[in-house]
Amino acid sequence: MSEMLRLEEISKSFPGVRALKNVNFSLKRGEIHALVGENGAGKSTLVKIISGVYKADSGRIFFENKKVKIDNANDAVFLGISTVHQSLVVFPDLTVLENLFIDNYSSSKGLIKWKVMREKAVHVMNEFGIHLSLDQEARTLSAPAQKLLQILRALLKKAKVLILDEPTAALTVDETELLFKNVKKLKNRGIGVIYISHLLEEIFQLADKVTVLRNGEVVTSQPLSELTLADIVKNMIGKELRSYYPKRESKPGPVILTVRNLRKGILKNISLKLRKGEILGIAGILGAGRTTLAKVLFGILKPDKGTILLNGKEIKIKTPLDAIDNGIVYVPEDKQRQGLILRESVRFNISIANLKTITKHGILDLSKENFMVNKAIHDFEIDPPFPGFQVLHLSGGNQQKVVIAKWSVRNASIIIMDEPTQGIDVGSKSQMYNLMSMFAKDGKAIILISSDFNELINMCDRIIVLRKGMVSGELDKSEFSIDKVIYLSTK
Amino acid sequence: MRDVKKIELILLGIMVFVFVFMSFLSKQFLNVSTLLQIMQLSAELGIMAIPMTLIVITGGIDLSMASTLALSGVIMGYLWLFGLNIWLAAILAVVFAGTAGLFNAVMITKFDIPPLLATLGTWALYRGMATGIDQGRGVSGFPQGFLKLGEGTLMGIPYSLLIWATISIVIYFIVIKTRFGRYLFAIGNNETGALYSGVPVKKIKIIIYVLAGLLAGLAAVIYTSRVGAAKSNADANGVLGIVAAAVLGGADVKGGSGTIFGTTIAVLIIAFIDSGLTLANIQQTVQEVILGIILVGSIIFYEYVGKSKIRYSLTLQRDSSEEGDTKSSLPTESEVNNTRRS
Repeated sequence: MSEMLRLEEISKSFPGVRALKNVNFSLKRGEIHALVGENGAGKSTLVKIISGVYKADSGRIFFENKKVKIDNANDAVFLGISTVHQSLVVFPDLTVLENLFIDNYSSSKGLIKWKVMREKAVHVMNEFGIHLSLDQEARTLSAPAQKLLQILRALLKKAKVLILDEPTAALTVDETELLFKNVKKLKNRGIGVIYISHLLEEIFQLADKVTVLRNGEVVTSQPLSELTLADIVKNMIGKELRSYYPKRESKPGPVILTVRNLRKGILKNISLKLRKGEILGIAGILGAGRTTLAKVLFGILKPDKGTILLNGKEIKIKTPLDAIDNGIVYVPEDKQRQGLILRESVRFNISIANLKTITKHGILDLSKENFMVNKAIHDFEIDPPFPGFQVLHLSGGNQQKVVIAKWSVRNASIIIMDEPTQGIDVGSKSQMYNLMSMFAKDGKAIILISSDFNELINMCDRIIVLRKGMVSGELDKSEFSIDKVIYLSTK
Repeated sequence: MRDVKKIELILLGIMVFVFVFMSFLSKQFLNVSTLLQIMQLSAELGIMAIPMTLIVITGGIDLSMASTLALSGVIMGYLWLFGLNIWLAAILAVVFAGTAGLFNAVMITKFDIPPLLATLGTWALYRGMATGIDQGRGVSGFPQGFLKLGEGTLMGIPYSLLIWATISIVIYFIVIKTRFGRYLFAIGNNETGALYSGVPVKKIKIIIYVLAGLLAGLAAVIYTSRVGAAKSNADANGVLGIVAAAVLGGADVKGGSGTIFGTTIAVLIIAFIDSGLTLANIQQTVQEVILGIILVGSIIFYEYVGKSKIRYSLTLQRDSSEEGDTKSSLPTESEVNNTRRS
């Protein structure tokens, strides 16, 4: 296999921080090269240098054994380096064909040449064996198909090196498999793939080689066959992490929440019970109704039918405020849009949910606020520990901590967590699990919605599996197995 | 995010500059009674610009306020004409204006109509209703006691100016010191996030649009009293001035930023320019051109200058998205101070 891309001694600093130090990296033709590291390790910076978003301070880049300069994103695309970003950059109302050429319409005399574009698209799809219906609206594509659409977009630009940034973040297990199958096709066609993911298990299914970054330096770079999962984790965090799941002894208490015959949209007749001190897992594939359930319990959506009982008394939850007043809080899946007010500070975000406790007759008590916020920052180890820091610039793990901190300040009794560990690094994940375990120990009840079956099995006392808006099964701890959860979600 | 303190300072600077410039342009300008008169003339604008600022902070807008002023003025006039006590008529007019604001609020919160369109509709609707009732006749001949509200003074200070100042100060404190104020900024920065954090988004929106109606009604009473007549074409192009004042005052039309102090200074700047030009015998039309330029110019200006700079250095480091390691980010001095336990 010939070498496609080689980086030598790449360094990059931002004011006050050295993001990369003398990084060497090489990618061969037809190689899937995983790039792993904790948040802040330098993965994104490295990838941004390769794709021309940033310019390295020093170092050399070779592409197909020729020294090249990548000064901007166009240079990279011209060489054949394309990035598929983590967030889905798809225009839902346009067709697949329109989406494929969105930044690259073929035209003559100002008129778009649809026929030429269609031929090109068909050609590339045949070449790589990835097939999408060109006239379908992008909104109707499944999540992995949308990813494939982005990949095709890159291939149309004659990409030789493809950077996939957390491509499976929004995908379920089946969808991930489908994507992997297609990524392997690319590999067989000689495309070099740089693969970034927080999910180490995935890397073992897919990658040939792995490079681990820590604090801006390459810790190791070797074929995957020579490494174990534990080796990689150790290299990433610099110490051995036995298991990220804390040992917990569950002692579920009395029933705190009862849901009876709940109906709303996709949800058809859901009934469940939640106990104090319990972590109840909600499993199911995308579209099973997990998030709808959470939104009904939190007052975002109004149920069409059904009753909710808190400590045996019926309650009506019409708005999030009602839910919060009843001690029910929600850590949403989309933390950036729903969980946080990104442009505001850590202080603002923590206090906005707790203003009633720090105001008297509506007037803010700033010293009370400072005390509350500083305590939350300390308790949850929010880093950097500055109340005035804009949340936008916190790492994913720390953003998630702010969301959780703002709720735990008010001693909620029921915490609904929707994919709480998605897109955060191993270290933060471990902290998140410890928090959950601590909450449960304090007698709070937790509803954990997750697509990560390992997480559910290791953290929960009980798992309810949803399928097409109905409870398709309930598993007690003694019955837990990934096979059963998958079977119940998809049978 | 905008750097509010900086914007307020810049505005004070501009105000001083305009003041000095106008006093060179016109000799009559630099005179206490002229100045008081200028401020008296802009009281209605000043009063209406306050709720407009609150609305803009939440990411909304209310184009209907000047029409509400005209309609409630006309209603007050006719209630009085039909024999009602003038003060009772005034109170009913203000209540009616509040209802007009409630109508906007219902369209925006209940039917999810974008504020720009909802209030563009009522901008035409309320003005049209006023014209329909009034038929261009106008009501005048109000009792002397009522006319005093717009003309009279207390220890040399016009009543209307006192009302304006009181409302400004009260709402200034509400914005910076209360739960309600925090809610406004939360909604403007991320409405979904605010909702998910337990902010009563709809309730807050209803309050501010009703407040906008009520204060437009109050402005109508003051306007009618000052002019001595209730007419359907009252404050005909008023909306331009109200929006311009809020925007020049630093309120971000994209939501999330704004300051009552800034808006109030902005009203004074606009008033100084207006009257300075009038005193210097420069055409009325020029003044409208200038308002338009202020509106657009300040948006462009704040895009570049008003940005919060405190964050900028941090932004640079962290711009490597999740990469810029938090440990090495240098906090600004103010942040370090903030972390000290009180």
